[in-house]
Amino acid sequence: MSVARRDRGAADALALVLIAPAVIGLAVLVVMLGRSVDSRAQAQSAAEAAAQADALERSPAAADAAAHRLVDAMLVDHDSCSAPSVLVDTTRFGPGGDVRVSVECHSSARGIELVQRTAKSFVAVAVAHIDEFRAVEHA
Amino acid sequence: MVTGLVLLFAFTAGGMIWLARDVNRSVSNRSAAQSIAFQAARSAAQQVGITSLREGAEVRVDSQLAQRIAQTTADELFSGYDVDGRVARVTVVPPDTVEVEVHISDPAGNVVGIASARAETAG
Repeated sequence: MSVARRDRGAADALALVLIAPAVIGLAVLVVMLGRSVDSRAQAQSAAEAAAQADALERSPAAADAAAHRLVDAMLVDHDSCSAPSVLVDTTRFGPGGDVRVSVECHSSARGIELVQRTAKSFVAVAVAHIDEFRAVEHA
Repeated sequence: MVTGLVLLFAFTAGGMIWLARDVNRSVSNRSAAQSIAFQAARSAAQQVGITSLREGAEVRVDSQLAQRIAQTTADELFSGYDVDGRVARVTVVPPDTVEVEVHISDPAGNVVGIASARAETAG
């Protein structure tokens, strides 16, 4: 009886030793995936907003400045979307044209080094149509 | 038992990664669909008779022109977002409102974007 109980205890301990790291790993993986989805959503949202803001500006230079200002104001979370870089394509800027914004930001590996060694980068692209009756100033 | 546990955790982890990738694409496509529908509706709602407006007539969207412009704008934006989409419906609600519905097809799941825009004069 006592031998059987001791054996079961050993089996339980072994199972715990095997399961615990896997459970912790799984939990960290969940955090990493959550952060990754959040990063992409934040980058996409910032790109959309920047493109919409650009489409309301009157010159390519003002559009570029507006996109940078807006993205810097929106992406302030250092874990999910840090150090954003913005690329504004204004080659088709003008009434009836469009403006394209690419936002790249980095999701930090802080706290999840077990499954992600370095920061991951995410790129989101958004395009906004410019109103046909919008006034435009050319440089 | 150990093999069973390893398999169980491997499948769970694989399933979660697959789910997260699908959710990622789905979120991105939904956002694109909504944005494209809104912008197509907005550009269609701008197809108003300028001359009659200057003469004080009510705002009236040209139905045929609005449909064509909504389609053109949406096509440009589908290409800009690099998605496989189509305009499912452009409805002009007289005299000044346009509704646009777009569908985006993707292996992660098809998404729908619906938006409405109304033309109005300032002041």
